[in-house]
Amino acid sequence: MAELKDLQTRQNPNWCPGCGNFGIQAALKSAIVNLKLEPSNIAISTGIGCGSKINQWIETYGFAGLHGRSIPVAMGIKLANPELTVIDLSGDGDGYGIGMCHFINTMRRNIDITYIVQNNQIYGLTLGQTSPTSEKGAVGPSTPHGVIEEPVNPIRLALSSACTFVARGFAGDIPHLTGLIEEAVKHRGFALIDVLQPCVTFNKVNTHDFFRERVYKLSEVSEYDVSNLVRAYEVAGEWGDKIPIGVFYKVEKPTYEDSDVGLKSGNPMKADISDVNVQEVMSSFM
Amino acid sequence: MKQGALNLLIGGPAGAGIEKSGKTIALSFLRGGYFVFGNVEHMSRIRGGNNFLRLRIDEKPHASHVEEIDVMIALDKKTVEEHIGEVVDGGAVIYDSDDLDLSEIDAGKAVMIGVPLKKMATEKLGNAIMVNVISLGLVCGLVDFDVSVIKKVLGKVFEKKGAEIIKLNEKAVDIGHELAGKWAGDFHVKMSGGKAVGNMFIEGNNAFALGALKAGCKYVGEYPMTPSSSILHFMAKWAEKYGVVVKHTEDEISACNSVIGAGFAGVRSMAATSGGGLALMGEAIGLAGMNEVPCVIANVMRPGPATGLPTRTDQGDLRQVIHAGQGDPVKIVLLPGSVEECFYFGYQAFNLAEKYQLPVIVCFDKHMGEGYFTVPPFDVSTLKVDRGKLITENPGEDYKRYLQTEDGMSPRTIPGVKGGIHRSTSDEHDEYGDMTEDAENRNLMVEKRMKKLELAMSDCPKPEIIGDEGAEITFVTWGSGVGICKEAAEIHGNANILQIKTAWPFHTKEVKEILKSAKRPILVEHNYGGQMGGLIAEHTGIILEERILRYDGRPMTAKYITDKI
Repeated sequence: MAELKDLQTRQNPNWCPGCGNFGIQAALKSAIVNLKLEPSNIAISTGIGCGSKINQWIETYGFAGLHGRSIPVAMGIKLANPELTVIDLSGDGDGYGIGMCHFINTMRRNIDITYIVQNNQIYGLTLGQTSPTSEKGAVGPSTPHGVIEEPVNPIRLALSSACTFVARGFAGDIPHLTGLIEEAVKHRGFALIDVLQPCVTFNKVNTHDFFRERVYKLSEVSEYDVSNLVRAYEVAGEWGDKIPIGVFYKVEKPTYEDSDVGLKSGNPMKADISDVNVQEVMSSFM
Repeated sequence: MKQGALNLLIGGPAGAGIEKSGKTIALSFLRGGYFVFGNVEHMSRIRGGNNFLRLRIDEKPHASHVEEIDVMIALDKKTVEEHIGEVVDGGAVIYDSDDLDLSEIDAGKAVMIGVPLKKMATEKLGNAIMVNVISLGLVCGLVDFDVSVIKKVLGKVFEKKGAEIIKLNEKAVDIGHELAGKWAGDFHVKMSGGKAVGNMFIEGNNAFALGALKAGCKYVGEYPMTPSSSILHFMAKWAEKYGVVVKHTEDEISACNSVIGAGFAGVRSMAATSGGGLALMGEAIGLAGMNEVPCVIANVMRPGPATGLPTRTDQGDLRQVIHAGQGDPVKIVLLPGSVEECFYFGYQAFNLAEKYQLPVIVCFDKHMGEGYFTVPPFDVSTLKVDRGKLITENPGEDYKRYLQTEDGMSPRTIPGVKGGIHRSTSDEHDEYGDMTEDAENRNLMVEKRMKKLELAMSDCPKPEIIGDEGAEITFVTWGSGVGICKEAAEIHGNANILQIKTAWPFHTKEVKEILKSAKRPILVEHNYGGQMGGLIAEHTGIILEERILRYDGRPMTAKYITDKI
């Protein structure tokens, strides 16, 4: 069990003033406290980018790996020690660009990982190139004539990849995001939270004000049913004057860990490996 | 008359069950007290083409084949066309006379045993599939091998299929055995039973995987790639029994990164792949070096670049495995030179990985990985797990994951351990693991990581002279070259072998000393550039002028080497 002050590390964040990541960091810390999690039982896996630096600024176990590869690392951690709470935080470039193959494949595995995407629709750390979620026509140093392709719709992608918990948060609404993170961590299985995260330096379109004027909560839509996949898919298409946030879809299914034969005999991390008996295996070659 | 040594080739189109039949023959002679070496040459396709398996059955062990054939079992004409020249005088070619028209083939002094095998199988046993077992009986009849041994083997192979199937197989053996009568008397090879008992018939890949299992590997992340895939299959087969999570991932990038995740979480973990997959793993291998995460990767080589010859053998990845990933290589590269070393180096790799907190690559070629060898069960009595500075209890105040220590190794906690919280960071980091770009810290950390390699040198297998020290010729080789050169040295009579067992870190002093006194060193490798020769030159300044290199994807034989001396 931790208090907020226990989650403070030796360093302070160096994000730009007003960066949406501050909101995400605050929400994550609050969720950890509210869930009464023991920080040494949490492992956070991150990729590369401004958002991924969050690893340095939350006092839990952390693995800061490569660009786009935070999900495989998280998967390895979880399958090696299923008793840990494993949270993956990385950006839209990580998860929806270079690491999309891991994103899709890990969703369909339903490994019990919470995946928080800091989606600022831009490549911040490399100074402002457009990202897979940049809107069509968006201009950046790598696309001076505007983005030609359609943006990735991560919610629809998740819904069609057998993701069992699909949500969107907004970095500017910390209490709401905190609640989403708590629900995602409690969910047994792969939980995606796509977080709208304004980049105050490079993204002059999708700003705090832009989102504040548009977001509405699905939980406040009276007839909305999180078990209705078709309805979720429909709502996930909304992007314009109104942008939905909250849980789009949620379903209970066996996790990967429930079914993997290698985990039947217990937690691999706790296995006694001092003298494994392989006589039976050797005999099979005789 | 030749007693106790039989060279057999079975060939046919892909999908004809050559490997399975060959394995049954091999196991029969293994049980009959012989050493069997098996080498499969197959094409990269599921059906058709021409595949063959060579079995070298002898009273002593071998690690390479010969190109003479005493008995050929031909399931297609192509096998006969390609290999008839290798059949010795008086050697036999067994084929189905209804199936193959071999009238145009110049058989020389080979004995052509054309029998309507399929017809007999159908008429007498009611199943055409029994052809292969009839052939097996025929071979045994030719060489006077004890039929009861084969029956026992078949009994075990078909144990699960029930008594009726076993009986049918036994009957097929008898039919084949009886058929042989006409030719058996004069046949030039007799196999009346050997003295070797209790041996295994095992491939390098499986020996390596067995070493991993013994070492307590509990996580495997792998994407199939020929010729490494049988490692994945082996681990998947034993996963439940040994509590191993075996994940066939979406690609090699995921495989290697997940292996690193598992290693970070405190579980012994590994990946296996071939050159193309290793190329994809490169960045992650660097990550394991930077973050000081223990993990093991097997690289089973095939000819490149790119897709190359997917099912053939080569040693062209030596430079790649050493330099996989950007920056100075923080890793250990082991080069097993026998099936036993595949097991022991495989086991040792996990100890080295945890002791020195870095990735260990075990690199061998297809000839070793998919070749079948006869060896006694591995002696596991002296093996000891060494987990290095792993800490599973609260390390106390002010824990530093990357603490500068005299030996370069820092105490390592894993998630779940209270008081051990840290970040494992791929950016340059300070002793706590937190990001910093400080220049002085950078130097200290680079030196810390490289210092581990200097220390690891004493734990890594050292170069070894095999044979008489003062020999006229010294074959300088590694991996599967070792077994082949051993035989070449035997044939030559005045040669020894310098086996390089660790590619990185490199045992410069030892190699230099050995080479200084070598009278006529000859580099033997399966690649175009003589990559080990380059590595030796780079470290010792000694240039090996004389070279025997092969890069057509086919394994060398002892004769291939002695012919070139």
